[in-house]
Amino acid sequence: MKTLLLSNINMQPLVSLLKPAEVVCGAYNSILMDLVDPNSPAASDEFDRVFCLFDTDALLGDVAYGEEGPDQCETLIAALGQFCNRHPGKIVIAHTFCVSTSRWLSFADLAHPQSLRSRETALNERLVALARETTNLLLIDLEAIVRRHGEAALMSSTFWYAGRIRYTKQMFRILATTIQQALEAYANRSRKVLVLDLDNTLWGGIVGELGPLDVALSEEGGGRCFRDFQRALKALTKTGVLLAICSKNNAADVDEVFDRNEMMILGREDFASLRVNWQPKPENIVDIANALDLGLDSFVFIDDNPVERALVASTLPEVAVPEFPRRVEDLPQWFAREIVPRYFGKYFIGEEDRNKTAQYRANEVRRTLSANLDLGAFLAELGIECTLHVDSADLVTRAAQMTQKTNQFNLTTRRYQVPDLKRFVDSKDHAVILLDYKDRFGSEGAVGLAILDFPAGRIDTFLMSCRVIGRGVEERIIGKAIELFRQRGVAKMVGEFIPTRKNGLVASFYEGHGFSLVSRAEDGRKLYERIIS
Amino acid sequence: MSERAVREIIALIAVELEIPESRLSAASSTDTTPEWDSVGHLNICLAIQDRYGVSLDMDAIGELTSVAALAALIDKT
Repeated sequence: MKTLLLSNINMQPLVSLLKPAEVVCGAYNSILMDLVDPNSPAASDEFDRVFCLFDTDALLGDVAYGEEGPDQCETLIAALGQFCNRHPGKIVIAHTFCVSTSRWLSFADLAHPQSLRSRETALNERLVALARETTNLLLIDLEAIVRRHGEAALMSSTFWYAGRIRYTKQMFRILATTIQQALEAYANRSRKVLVLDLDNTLWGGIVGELGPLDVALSEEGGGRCFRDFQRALKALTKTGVLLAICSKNNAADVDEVFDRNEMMILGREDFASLRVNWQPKPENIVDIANALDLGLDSFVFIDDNPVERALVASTLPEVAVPEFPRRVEDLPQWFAREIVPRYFGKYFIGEEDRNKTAQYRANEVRRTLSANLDLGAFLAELGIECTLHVDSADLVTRAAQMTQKTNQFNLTTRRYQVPDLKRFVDSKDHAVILLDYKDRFGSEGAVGLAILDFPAGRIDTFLMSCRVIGRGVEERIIGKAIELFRQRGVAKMVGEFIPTRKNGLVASFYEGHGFSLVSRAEDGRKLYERIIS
Repeated sequence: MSERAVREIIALIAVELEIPESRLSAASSTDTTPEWDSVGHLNICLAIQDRYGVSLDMDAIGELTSVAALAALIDKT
C-alpha cells in the first residue's frame, strides 16, 4: 500500500513523519497536473492513497493581492472531483482551503466584493459538498487546526522563502497525526465503549463523603468543568459510542445522585452498562465487555485515580487507559481535543449511531425475556421483521463499517473500506446482501452482511451483529444467497471459515447450515460446499 | 563548541538525513555529505528550531551548513 503526496509547495518534511506508511512525494507543484492527467503517477496502480495537501495562498496567486485573474482553487476542486470519480478504489485525502491572515484589504476584507474571507468560505462550501457526495474523498479541517494552534506557531516565512516550506515542524507533526487519525476514522477502526469512573471524574469530590447533592457539579463555579464534561460525553453517545460506569461506591449513593441531583446531564439511560460495587475494576470491565458482547480492545477507561488506571492498564492491556488531565478545568477540552479524535474519531455518522445506547439497553431487556421463555415462544414474542437489500448503493458506508467492526460472528473477517464495497455493489461478479432487523423493541438497522463472489461460487464474507445472534436471522441471508447463486447458474456454493482470536463462535457455523466440510488447512481454515442446484 | 553539542547535532542530522551516525563527524558539512542537500538541510534546520526553540533567519539557514556551525549555535542556547 503506497501513498502519493501531492502539493503545490514543498511538503517533503512530512514524509518521514508519516512512517511506517510508505509515502512518495509527487513532483514539485504537480498537484493539478497529477490529478487531471490520466497517465500521471497518481493515476497508476502503484498508489492506492493520494494525499492532496496544498497551500491556499499559493493557489490564489495574484488574486491574494487583489488582482483579477484565474484562481487555481476552483481548478483544484474540479480536479479532485474528477480524480476521485475516475479512481473509486483510491482513498484521497485533502483538506479545506485556509487563506493566511495577511490580507491586502485589512479591515475591509469582511465586506469588500473581493474579500478573501468570503472567497475562502465559498470555496470550502463547494469542497465540502464534493466530499459529501464522494465517498473516497476524505476531508480534513485545516482551518480548525490553524485556529487551535495559531498561525504564528504553524507557519514560517523564513522556511517559505528559503525553500517553499510553509509549515514548521510542529505543524508537520500535527498534520501527520491528524492524517493518521482521519484514516483510522475513515476505516471505522475507532473504539466503541468508554468506561468512566464517577468520583472526581463525572463530578468533583466523593459522593460517599459529600452526599448526592453536594458533589461539585454545577453551572456556576468550578463544578461547571464536570457538567461540561458530561455534556461532551452525552454528545459522544450520539456518535455511536457506548458509555459505561465502573465505580467503587455504594450503589445507593450513586442511585441518589441520578435520582436527585438536578445538575446531572447524564442519566442512567445514557449508559449501556453500570457497575457500581467494590469489586476490582478490571473484573467489572471484563463483566461489562461480556454483557455488551464487545471485545476489550474496543474499550477506553477514564479514571482520575492513577492506581486504578495502572491496575487496569497492566491487567487488561487491550483497554486504552489515557492519562487524566492534571487540572480539572482542562477536562472538557482535553476530552474533545485529545481523547475523541484519538480513540473515537468518526468520519461517517449515521442514524443507527444515534440510537446505539438504546439498542444495547433494549438487548438487556430482550435477554431477560429470553431467560423466562422457551426459544420458539421467545422468537414469536419478539415479532421479528427482516428486510433484505441486494447491491444497495446507499448502504455501502454501513456495510464497510460492518466488515471493519464485526469480530465474533464473522466467518472470514475480511476488512473492507467504502471503495471496496462500492466496487462489489457495482460489479456483476459480486453481490452485497444486507439485512435490516426490526422487532417489537425497536429497529436494530443493518445487522447482517454477505458478499457473494459469483465466478467462484463463493461466500466471500458472511457476518452478523452479535446483537441478533440466536434469532434465526442468519437463515434469511443464506436463503437469499442460494437464490442469487441459482440465478447465476451456480450449482455448488462454497463457504469458508478463517479462524481469528475472536470468531470461535462460528467455527462450526456451516456444519449446522447444510454445508459439508471439504478441507481443513493447518492454520485452521476450513472450506465447505453445499449443493444448491 | 562542546563535545556534547557535536554529539547531539550528529544524532539529529543522522535522523533527518536517514544515514548512520558513523557517516558524520565534527568535520562534516554540506560539502562532505552528499545526502546533506538543500532539502535535507531544510529538514535539519526545521528540526533544530523545533528541538532547541531557536528561530533561524534566512541568513542563518544559509550559513549553518556544517556540524561545527550548528554545534556552536546550540552551545549558545
